[in-house]
Amino acid sequence: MKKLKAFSSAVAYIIIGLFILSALFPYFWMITCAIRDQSDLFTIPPKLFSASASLENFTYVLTRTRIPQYMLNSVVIAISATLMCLVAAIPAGYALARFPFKGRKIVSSGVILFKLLPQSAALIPLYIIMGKLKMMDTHFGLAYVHLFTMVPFAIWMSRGFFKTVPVAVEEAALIDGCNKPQALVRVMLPITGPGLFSVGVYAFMLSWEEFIFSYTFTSSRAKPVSVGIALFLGEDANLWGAVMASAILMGIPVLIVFFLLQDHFIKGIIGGAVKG
Amino acid sequence: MMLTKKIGSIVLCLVLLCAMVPVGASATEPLKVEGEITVWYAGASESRVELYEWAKAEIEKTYPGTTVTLEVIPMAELASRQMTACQSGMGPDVMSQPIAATNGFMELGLLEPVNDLMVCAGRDLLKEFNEDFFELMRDGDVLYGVPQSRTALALVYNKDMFEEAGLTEPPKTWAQVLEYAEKLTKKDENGNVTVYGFGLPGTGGSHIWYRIIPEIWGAGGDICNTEMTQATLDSEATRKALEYYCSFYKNGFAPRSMLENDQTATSQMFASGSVAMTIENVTWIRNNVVEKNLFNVGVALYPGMDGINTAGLGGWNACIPASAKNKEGAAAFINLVTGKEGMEQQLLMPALAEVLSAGDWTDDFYGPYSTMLAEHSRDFPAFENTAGAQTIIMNMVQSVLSDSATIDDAIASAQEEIQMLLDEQNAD
Amino acid sequence: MYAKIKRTLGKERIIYYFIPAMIILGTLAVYPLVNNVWLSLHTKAGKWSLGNFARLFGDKWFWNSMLTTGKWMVLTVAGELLVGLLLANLINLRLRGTKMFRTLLMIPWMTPMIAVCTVWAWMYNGDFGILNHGINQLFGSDILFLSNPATAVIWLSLVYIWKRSSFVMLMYLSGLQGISMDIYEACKIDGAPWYTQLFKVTLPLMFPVIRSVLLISIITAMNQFTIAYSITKGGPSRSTELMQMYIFNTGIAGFQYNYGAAASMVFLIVVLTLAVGYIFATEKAEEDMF
Repeated sequence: MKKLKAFSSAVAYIIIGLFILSALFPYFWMITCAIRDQSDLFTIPPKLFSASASLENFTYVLTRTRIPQYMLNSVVIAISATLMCLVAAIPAGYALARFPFKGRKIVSSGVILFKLLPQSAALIPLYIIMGKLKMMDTHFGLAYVHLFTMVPFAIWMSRGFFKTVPVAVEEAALIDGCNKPQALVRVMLPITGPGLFSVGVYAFMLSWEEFIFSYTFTSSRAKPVSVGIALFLGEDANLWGAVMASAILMGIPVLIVFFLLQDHFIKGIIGGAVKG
Repeated sequence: MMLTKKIGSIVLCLVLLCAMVPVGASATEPLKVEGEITVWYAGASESRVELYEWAKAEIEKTYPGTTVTLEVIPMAELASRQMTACQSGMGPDVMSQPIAATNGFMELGLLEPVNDLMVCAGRDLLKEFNEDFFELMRDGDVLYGVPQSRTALALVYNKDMFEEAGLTEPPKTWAQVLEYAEKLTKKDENGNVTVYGFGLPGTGGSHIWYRIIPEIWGAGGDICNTEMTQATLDSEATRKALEYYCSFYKNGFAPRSMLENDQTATSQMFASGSVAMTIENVTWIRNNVVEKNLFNVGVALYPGMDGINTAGLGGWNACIPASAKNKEGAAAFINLVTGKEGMEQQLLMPALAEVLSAGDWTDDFYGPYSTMLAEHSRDFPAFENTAGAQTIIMNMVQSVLSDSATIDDAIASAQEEIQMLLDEQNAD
Repeated sequence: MYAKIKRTLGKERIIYYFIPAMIILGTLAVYPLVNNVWLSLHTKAGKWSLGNFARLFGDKWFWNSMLTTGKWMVLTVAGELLVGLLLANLINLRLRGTKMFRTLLMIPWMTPMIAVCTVWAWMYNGDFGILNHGINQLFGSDILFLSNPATAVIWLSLVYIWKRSSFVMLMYLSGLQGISMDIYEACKIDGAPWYTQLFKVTLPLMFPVIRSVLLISIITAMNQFTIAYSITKGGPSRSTELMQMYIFNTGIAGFQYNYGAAASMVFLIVVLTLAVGYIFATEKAEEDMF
C-alpha cells in the first residue's frame, strides 16, 4: 500500500513538474532572447543559448524608444481607471450585498450581463463618439473606456467580499448610531480592506493589459505599453529582441504585485466568480 | 461727345489697370505664414525625422511667431487616422501620405488644390517634377499634392553568395530567377536549409501587392481595366504570375516561414545572410545593409516573365486637407520639405527632378533603382479601398501557398471580391 | 405620512449607491449598444435599411469568422476544462511544495496577454522558432505551426489554454476543497477504486462549480481579440480570424461603421443566446442530478 502511494505520489510529482516546465519555458525563452544580439535571433536553426549576453536590447528600449513614455502612460491610465472603478464598484457591490431591494436579482443578472458583453459591441459607437468629443488619444478618455471591462468584475468581486462579513457587525455599528453610509465607511471598509485592495489590484491589471480599446483609441500621446510593444514589429525592422525586452519590462510589475498579494487575490476571484 | 469718350476710355483703362494690379499682386504675393502649423507624418526612418525637424526649425526662424507642431503617426494607422480626421474636419495642416492614399482623398473632396498656394511660394510644380508623378492626384490642371519621394522596387542579391555559386550576372527572367534560387539554396548535413535562394513575403497586404501585381503586368495582365469598372484578375496572366510567386515556397527555395513573414522579416533574413535574393526598396537596403557594410549588395532590374517587369510606384506625397486651418503655413512648410535642400534629406528617392538628376544616382547601387523609376514604373490602379484590395490579393496568395485552394479557385474568388470593391467604388 | 417619506427616502438612498456605476455603464455599454443597433439599421448616408444584415448573410468571410470562433471556443473550453481539472486534482493531493507549485503554475495567467503572445509568436515561427527546432530534433520532421490554415487554430488555442488553465484550476480547486472529506472516507470504506471515486462522486459534486466555470470560459473565449491579432493577425488565409478581429477589420480599419455594427450585433446576439441557453440547459441538468 505504501509503495502504491509512493508510486502515485511520484507520478503526480512528475506530471506537475512537466506542467511547470511548460509553464515556465516561454519565460526562459523570453529572457534569453532579450539578452542576446539581434543578429543571433535570425540564425537558422535557432540556438537555445547564445554566446552573446548583453543588456543591449534593454538599454535600447529604455533610452531610444518611446517605451518609457508608454509605460508612464499605462501607469497614469491604469491608476485613474482603477480609482474611478472603485468609486463606482464599492458602493454598488455593497448595495447588492446588503440591501434587499426589489429587483436586486435583476440588477445582479445585469452585472453578469455586462461581464459577458464583447468589447466589439461597443467599439464602433465609442470610436465615433470619442472622435466627436475629442477624447481620442487622451489619458482620461482611455482610462474611462477601460472601465467597460473593469467595473462589472469589480462590482462582482466587492459584492463577494462584502458578503463574507456577517451582518451582525454592521448591525452593531448601526445600533451605535451610524447611518448606513457611515457604517460602510467606518466599519465595513476597514474589515474588507485587504479584499477591496485586491479588487483594485485586479482592476489595475485589467487596465494594464487591455488591448483592443487601447489600440483603437490612441495614436501617440496616450498610447499605453500594451500597444507600444506591438510597434516594434514595423516597417523598418522586426526587432524581436526589443519586443522580448519590452515584454519583460511590461510583465514584471504585474508579476511582483501578484507574488505579494497572491492570497487575497485568489480569495477574491474564487469568492466572487464561483458562487454564481 | 469726343471729350467724354476720351475721358471714358481713360477712366476705363485706369480701372482696368487698377483691376489688374491686385490680380498681379495676388499671383506673386508671398505667403502669409503665421500661427500654428500642424504636420502629420510617418517618421519611418531617421532621415525623415531629421528632415521634418529641420523644416520646423527653418519655419520658426524665418517667420517668428509661428509654431510648427510635428506629429509622428505609425505607418499602420497613418491612412486611417488621416482619413478620419479629414472627414470630421479636424485634420492637420500638412499631411504626408503614401501615394496610394492620395487619390482616394482627392476623390472624396478632402484635399485642397495646391497650385496657387505653391505658386505664391515661388514654385512651378509641373516643371520641377516628372509630370507622371501627378497622374493620380490631378483633376485637369488642378493639382492636389506635392511629390516628396518616388520609388520603384528592384531585385537585390548577395554578391558574395553569387560569387560562391559561380554566378556572374543577375537573373533577368522568371526562369533564371528560379534557376538561381535553386543554386543558391544551401543545406547543412542534416538536410536542413541554412540559406534560402529567394525570399518573398507571405503576409503583409501592401508588401505582397507590390510584388505580385508587377508580375501580373509582366505576364500581360492586370487587376482591372483602366476605367476601373471590371476586374480582370481571372486571366492566364494571373495564373502564371501566381504560380511563379508560389513556386519558390513549394520548391523549398523560399523560407518555410514565408506565410508568417512580411517583407520586413524577409529583408531581415536577407541582411543576416539567410536569404540570397529578394525584392526590396532602396531605403531599407541602404540603411540596413549598405551602411552597415554587411556584405556586397548587388542590385538588378526587376526580372519579369520575359524581360524586365514594370514596377509599381511607391513613395510619399505632401497634401493639404481642405479643412486645414492654416493653408498658407502649410504651403510654406511643404515648400521647404520639397525644395532642393529638403529633397536632399528626403527618403529615397527624392522626387524633385533637379536633385534626382544631380548626385550619384547612377552608380552600381542606385543605378538600377533610378532606371526602374525612370523607365519601368507606373501607378497602381487607384482603388478607394486600397487596404481591402490588398487584403484580397494577400488571401489569394496565402490560400495557394498553404494549399487550401487551387490556383483557379483562389483567382476566381479574388476576382469576385475585387469586382465587388469596384462596384462599391463606382456606386457613389 | 412620516413613514411614507421615510420609505421613499430610504429607497432613494439605495439608488445613490449605484449612481457612479450607472453613469459609467450607461455611457460605456448601454448607450453604445443602442447606438450600435441604430448604426446597423442605417446606411452610411443615414437612411433606414436592412441592407447591412442582408449583406452579412451573404458574406463568406463573416461566416468564416463565425465558424472559426466556434472551433476556437470548443478547443479552448475543452482544453481548459481538462487541464484545469487535472491540475486541480493534482494540487489537491497536498503534496509537499504545493503552494510553490501553485504559484509557479499561475505565472502564465498573470502575465499580460500581449507579452505572452509575442513570445509564443516567436516560438512558433517557422524558421527561427525554438519549438519547431525542438520537434525537428526529436522527430525529424517539422510542424509549421502558423502556416497551415487547417491547424493554425489548434496551435493558437494551445497558447490560450496554456495561459488560462491555472486560473480555471483555482476555481476547480476551491470546488474540490468544498467537498467534505467524510465522503471520501465513506468511499474508502466501501473499497471504491479511484476512478469510481472520480466519476461517481467528485465530478457530480463539482457540477455546480464546473457549470459556472464553463460559462465564464465560453464567454471569455468568444471575446478574444489580442491573441488572434498579435500572433497570426487572423491568418493564414483568415483561418484564425476570430469574430472580434473581423468586426475590427471591417468596422474600424475598413471604415465601414454601419456594416461593422451589424456584424457586432449579430455576434452579440449569438453570445447572449449561447449564455442564456447554456444557463437554462445546465440548470435543468443540475436539477436532474440532485
